[in-house]
Formats: sequence, C-alpha cells, structure tokens
Amino acid sequence: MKDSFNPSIEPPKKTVTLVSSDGYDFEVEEEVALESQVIKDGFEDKAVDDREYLLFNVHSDTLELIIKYCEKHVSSRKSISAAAASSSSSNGEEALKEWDEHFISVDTNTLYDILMAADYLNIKSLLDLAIQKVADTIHGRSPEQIRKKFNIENDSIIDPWASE
Amino acid sequence: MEASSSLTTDLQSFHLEMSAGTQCSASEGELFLTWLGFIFAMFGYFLRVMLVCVFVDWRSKYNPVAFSCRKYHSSKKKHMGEPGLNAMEVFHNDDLVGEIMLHLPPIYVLRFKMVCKKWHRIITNPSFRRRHTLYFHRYSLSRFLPSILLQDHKAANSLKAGEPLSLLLNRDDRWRAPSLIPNPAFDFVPVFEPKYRRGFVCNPLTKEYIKLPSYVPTKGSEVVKNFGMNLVFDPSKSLHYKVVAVYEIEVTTSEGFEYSSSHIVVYSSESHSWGISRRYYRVPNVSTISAGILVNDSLFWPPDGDGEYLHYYNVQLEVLVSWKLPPKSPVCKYRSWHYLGGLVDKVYLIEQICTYESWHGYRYIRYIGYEVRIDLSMMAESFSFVIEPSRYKDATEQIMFPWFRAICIHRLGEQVFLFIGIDCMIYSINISQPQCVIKKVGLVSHLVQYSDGSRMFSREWDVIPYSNSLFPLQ
Repeated sequence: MKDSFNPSIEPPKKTVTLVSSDGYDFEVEEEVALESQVIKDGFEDKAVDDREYLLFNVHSDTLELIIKYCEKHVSSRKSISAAAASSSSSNGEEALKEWDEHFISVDTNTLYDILMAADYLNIKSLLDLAIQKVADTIHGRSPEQIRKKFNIENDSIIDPWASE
Repeated sequence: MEASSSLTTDLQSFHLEMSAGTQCSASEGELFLTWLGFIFAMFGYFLRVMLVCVFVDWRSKYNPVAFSCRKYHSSKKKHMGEPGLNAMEVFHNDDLVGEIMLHLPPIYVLRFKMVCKKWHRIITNPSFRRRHTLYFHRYSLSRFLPSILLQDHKAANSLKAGEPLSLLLNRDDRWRAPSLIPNPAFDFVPVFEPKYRRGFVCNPLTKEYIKLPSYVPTKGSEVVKNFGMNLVFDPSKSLHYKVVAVYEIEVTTSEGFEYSSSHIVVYSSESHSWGISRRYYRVPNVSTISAGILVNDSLFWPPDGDGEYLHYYNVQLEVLVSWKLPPKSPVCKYRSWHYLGGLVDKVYLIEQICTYESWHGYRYIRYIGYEVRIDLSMMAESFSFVIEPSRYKDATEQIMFPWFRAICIHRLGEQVFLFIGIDCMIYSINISQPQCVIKKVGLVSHLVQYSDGSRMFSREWDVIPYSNSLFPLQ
C-alpha cells in the first residue's frame, strides 16, 4: 500500500533464465527474453517461478551476443517511443540501424552461429539482419566459389558457367 | 564461512595423514583405508565446490548487472559453434538457403541454381519463385497487387468448384499484353474468356483469382464482343481496384434499327458491380486494349500499327482523351511500337525505327530507338537514339540478326534509364541526358534460340525478374 504511492520504488523486474548448450545460465529480464518468438510462445504455459529455458542449440558465446542484441533493441525501442511521445525529434532509429550494422560485423563463423541461433529462437529482426549479411557475403560469387566455401558437393549435370 | 573452510583443510590434512599412515604400515586394512581416504578427499572437494556455487549464487542474486553468468562445469566444452560447423549447417538447411536466396537479386539466384541439385531444387520450386518475386518487388507498385485479392473475401468465396481456371492458368500467353509491348506491370491480369463469357481477375503469381460478374447492358442492347479488360489499381490511393472493359454493344432502337457501338464500362471492387456507362465511344486500336497502363488515374492504351493518336481513359472523370503522336519517320515503312510505360507523371512510348542495310552479305538492321515522352501537363516531346548493331557482336564475333526489345524504364534518383535487350545483352540508356549514354549492364542466360536464328527470352515472364534486377549491376 505504502509502496504504491512511492514512485521511487520500482516493482521488482521479472526475470527468465536461459541455459546455453554448454551449461551456462543467463538471467535476463522477461521483456528481453520475449524478443524470441519461441520463448514468447512457451511463456504462458510456464509457471511464474519456473521460467527456465534450456537452449540446446545455442552456445554461451552466441547467447551472450543475442542477449546483447535483444537488450539493445528493447531499450532503444523504449527510448524511441519516449522521444515520439515527447514529440522531440531524434534519430533513434538510425542510431539503432548503425548499431545493428556494427553488431553484425563479426567474423563469418560467429555470423553463422548467430544466424542459426536466431533461427532457432525465432527472433525475426535478428534473423533478417543475419540473413541479409550472409546474402551480402555470397552476393556476386560464382557457384564454384560457393561450393568450395561451404563444402558442397558438385552434383550438377551441366554447369554453363564453368567456361567463364 | 571461515569455519567451514578450516574444516575442509582439517579434512584434507586428515586424509593426508591417513594416506601417509597406510603407506607406512601397509597392514591388512590397507585397501579399506585407501578407499576411505579417497572418499574423504572427494567429500572435501565437493564441499569446496558447493561453497563456490553458493557464493556465486548469492552474488548473482544481488548483482545489479542485468544478466550474470554462473559456471556449472569447469571445462568449457563446445557443443555448437565449432568453426565451420554452423556455416555448413546453414548451407545445408533448405529453409535458410531459401531465406538467403530471397535477399539476392534474381540474376544471382538463377546463377546459384548451378551450385548443386539441392539448391537447384530450392530455387526452381514454384513457391520459392513466387515468394522471391513478391519479396524482391515489394517496393515496386505493381507487386502490391496480390494483396488486394486476399482482401476481397466475399468475391473469392463465391467461386464454385470446377471452374475452368486451372485450364486458364496454364495458358499464360493469352493473359499477357500483346507481345508487341511487354509490360512488367502485368502481374495481376483481368482476363476475358470468350467461351465462358466471363471476366476474371487473376494473379498468375499466387494462382488466385476472382470471378467478375457478367456485364449486363441496359434494356434493348446486347453484348456482342469484349475487346479487352484493364486493371486499374493504385494501392497508394485506394485498396479497391477497378476493371475497365471495352465492349461492343449491339443496340436495338424502338424503331427496330440495329447498330453497334463501343462501350467503356468500369467494374469497381468496392461495390462488386459494373457501373453504368452513359457515354458511347468509338474505341480505336482495339488490338491493344488489354495492354493499357495506369498513370495518374488515367489508363493509356498503346497505339497499334500506324496509329496517329495515343488514347487514354481517365477513370475518375470517365472520359476518353486522344493525343496526337509525332509524325512517322520518313525512313521506315511501318511504325513499330515497342514499349509503353509510365513513371509517376510521365508516359514513355518507345518506337523502333529500323533501316535495312547490307554488310558483307549479311542483312542487318540499324535500330533507331525513338522515344516519345509525354508529360501529363504538357505537349508530347520526343527524341531518338541510335543503336548500331555492328557494335554488338556475339561470342563468335559475328553480327547476328539482332533481337531487340525495350524491357523497361526505371528512374534512379533524378536519372531515367531505359533498359533494352539486344541479343543476349542488356543495355541501359540514360534518356534523361541529351546524349544518350549506352552501357552494358548484364547478360541474359535465359534465352531460347529459335530455328530462324533469332533469340528470345523463353517467355515474357522471364523478363520480369530482370527488369528490376538491373540496378545492383549499375
């Protein structure tokens, strides 16, 4: 009763525990975890005190990056809507885009890790970001280069580009 | 905490003493004591691990950092994300390969068909092609069209089973604009099937369609013929579309005289009915009626043959207007219109003027593209550019009987480009500059060779992905 009148005391933030494939626990805010559609779907079914998700396909290094991404997006979304509410012009979205650009500029293996994890967790925006990045890396390459790079066996019968 | 750690130390020292004792005495209880010592040592180690865990747990509870990391195992073993493993996994996952391909321009996607059979299967899958076309053209106006179909649930539900649509869907050609003028905007095509005397609005991409109600003219008149239908749809203005049809109507007067006249009638998806036309028009160039393009609420019909006028129908005001075209060039016998396209408030009409010349026994055509640019508020203006086929040799350095086709007009910033295909090359021509700069932009791999030596896109359909893929190659 007394607390509700005191604006300085915030309600305790609800958290969710994510467990990576190599057994690390990550305690994140509920809001951040809900960026993942998979977690969101399973969220309602879970009891309040048992919010633990075992992510068998996500390594702790990748999970750390993904949490970083989700946190950034949640916080910047808040600040953008706050800026819109106070009708002050801000380039929050552009800044976020820039941040995304910087975030996804990682080495190839990490990129594929992020892509697989985003696919597994079903985080739409991150998946799009990673896929766009992968598409950029294979953009303009020849089929031969692709085969070599990703260890794909050439079982095509004809290859009209081979003469090039 | 101090007490417990000293306990562990005690236990350890006890264990050490015990082991020392067993080594010295080497009595009959040796084996049992070794085991006891080992158990004690394990217990001590376990206690220590427990303590560390409790400490970490306590820290994580009161840690102000949003997430914290707690160690379960001391060894950091990688289950996933080993170098190269995920990369392989991504490229062997059909769904993800499809998603990645979705972000690539069509020309690369077509090239990647050759990577392996699996990719070939993914790329040639009709549902992927449909998705790719929709995704890749999501910013271009005409590609918004499919959504309208889904909105009109009422009409879609009224379809009956066993309609002749599957039959119609295989015959793409009759939906296309006349081959004279390829129009990339024709994704969503009204069709008139004379056998069934009905109009359909179809989307060849999603293979969905709705049936239009048949047009019933006023009393005493009868529909004789349908000259063609056009879709009028601008999603930036309204999500409802209209279909403009031209009918030949036979009217019987009260005195018993019969005469026929053309009739322009408009179907509106909002009211799901045909409007009533009060005006009669003599509609010219009936062969190109179904190839109209929509610019600024007006439907422009391409001229046919030696047509001197360009006709357009203002859908808002329901009036037909005719514009006089520039006169025919004296060097050619017949007019040959190649492209009619609109860009925001301008209409572009491309005419091909060819003169036949002889060179080393080969007959070749000297092409002169002729462009008529019509500003909607101004008079027609025109200019020409020359394409010398001798500059465009094929692989064997022979001048072939070149195939020429205007593909599309696109605006890139302030510049307007016309894309043309000559043989199997695509060239861009900057038509917003006084000197038209011709640049080679791409190679078409999808050509079929006909018996007479001419080469062509295998279908009109194949042109469409290219027309929008030219920009990344600039």
